[in-house]
Amino acid sequence: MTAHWDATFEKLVRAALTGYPAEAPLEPGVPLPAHGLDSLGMVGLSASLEDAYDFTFPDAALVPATFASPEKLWDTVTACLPGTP
Amino acid sequence: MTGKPLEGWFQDGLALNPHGPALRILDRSWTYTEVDRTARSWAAALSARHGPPRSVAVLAAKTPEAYIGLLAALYAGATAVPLNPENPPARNGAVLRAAGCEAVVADPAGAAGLAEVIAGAAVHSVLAPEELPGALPSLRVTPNDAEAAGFVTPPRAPDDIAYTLFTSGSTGTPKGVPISHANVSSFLRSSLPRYGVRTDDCFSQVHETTFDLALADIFPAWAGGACVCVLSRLQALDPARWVRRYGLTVWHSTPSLARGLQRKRLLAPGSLAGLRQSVFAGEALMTDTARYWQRAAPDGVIDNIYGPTELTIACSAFRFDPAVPDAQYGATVPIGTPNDGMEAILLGADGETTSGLGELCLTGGQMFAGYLDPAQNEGRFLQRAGRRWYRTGDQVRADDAVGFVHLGRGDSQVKINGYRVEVGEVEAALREVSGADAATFAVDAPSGAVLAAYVLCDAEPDLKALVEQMATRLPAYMLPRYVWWRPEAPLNAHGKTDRNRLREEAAREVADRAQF
Repeated sequence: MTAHWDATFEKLVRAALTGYPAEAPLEPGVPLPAHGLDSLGMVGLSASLEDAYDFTFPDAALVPATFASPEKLWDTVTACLPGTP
Repeated sequence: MTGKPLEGWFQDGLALNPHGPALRILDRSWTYTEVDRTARSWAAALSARHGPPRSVAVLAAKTPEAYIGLLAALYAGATAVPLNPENPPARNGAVLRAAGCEAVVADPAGAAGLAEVIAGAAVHSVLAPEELPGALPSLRVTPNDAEAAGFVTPPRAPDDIAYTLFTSGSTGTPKGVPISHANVSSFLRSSLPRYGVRTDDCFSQVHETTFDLALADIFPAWAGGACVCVLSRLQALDPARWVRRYGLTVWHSTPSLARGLQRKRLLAPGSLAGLRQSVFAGEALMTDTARYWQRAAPDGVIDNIYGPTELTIACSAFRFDPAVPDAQYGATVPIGTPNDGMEAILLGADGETTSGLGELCLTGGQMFAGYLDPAQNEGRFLQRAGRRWYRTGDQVRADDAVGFVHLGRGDSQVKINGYRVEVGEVEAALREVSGADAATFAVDAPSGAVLAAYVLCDAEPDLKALVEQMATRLPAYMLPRYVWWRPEAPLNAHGKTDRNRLREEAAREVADRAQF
């Protein structure tokens, strides 16, 4: 598996989950709601990602589907960052 | 039909405000005339192949298809069956088959998972905005103006079913709750005076249409010619932004949402100043949360409405009075008095009707006729004074000044963020995926109840795999926040799993984790 994201993203996502085993790799497709990420958790995570990467989620991205898996979330974050195609 | 079919209430709004917005999603809005025309053309398309379908699944959430599709199902003379594409396809498929849906309206997310949802179902027509995957194009229907022009909605009787919603069932199978046109009309007739809807009102629309609180936004707004403004569950957690951006005037949500904002101190005083009315439903509204919200929305009124899906959206209401001291209300805002057309009695622990404290039972125009599966009616109805009453399972106290005060429930049904969950259904799913014994509890946390579960078996299970399998069976709101493994279950004096001790242990664990 290639590295999909950086260490900051990995740390912030893991911190938003409940009980995700520290030794297990964070797989791109892992269903985040199954690991305790609820609506308030999603909003908290969106705020910490916005702070860490200095961007703002567009309104249309603030939907549960964005937070379905690390891969979807990272795709959304990178699409919002300047300098990405 | 004597009495108005549900879509007739939309047509009232159409007559009041034909060129005004009926629906807004982000930066796009649709006028009443557009929504009416689109729904009519969709209804015609859904009926073109085999005549009007009996039931139409609306597999869509927070998209134009979710709202216009709901109306299109009604225009087709069918029962609307809302399904959320976020829910596991296997569960949506079981619901679709149980409801006998012959046609589907799907949004892009719904269309993506459609093949699995309709496998084995007698679906003959699918209306979806994007190319359908796999072999499904043969089912696809496309609206056209000529068909729409000649289309007439088939006549229906007041007792015909307008929509069927599915709620959590304690035995592990969702329960279908069919609601008739007469039921919804009874709700709207008694509720509309409380809203006093104006054509320039903007209603928030936070909850998915699979949850009947959504219908408490959509149909009162549409009946009065107002705009339904769609917010995702996440957008709704920043209400001040949307009050400013959309000019929201009526807010509808669960108390959990307000409670969450209160805990994180996210609502500044006056930040919701445009709201003239805020309506909470779905679970207990704490008095201090109502006060917190009132400070943010100082010029608006706060209504607490109550009612199970079986009694059509909400069957009692109470208007919060900020001038009344806490001591008079107690910890939770009362649920008030029954709607017009509804009557209530209390059933005591001895099985006799009582006057002070007991299980709330109601009857009247909003009461459904029975579950889709009649076997589920067992124990839910009561015969008294020559009438049939629905037993809500809610324990209440009757108070002369404020009406009913909700005390709790006598069974294991809980509200998680406002969603109705049978703990037994979650536990059954955990047993199935683990192949082991399991215990699940709803535990109070500062943010409201959360689900915590134990898997009880000798060998350590792969918890990560288990919770992910749970997510393929249950909607996200039913997934436990915590799942723990315990090799040895504590036993009680009878040698059985000591559930009380496990529950206490879970409460401690949850409290520890809520510290930070």
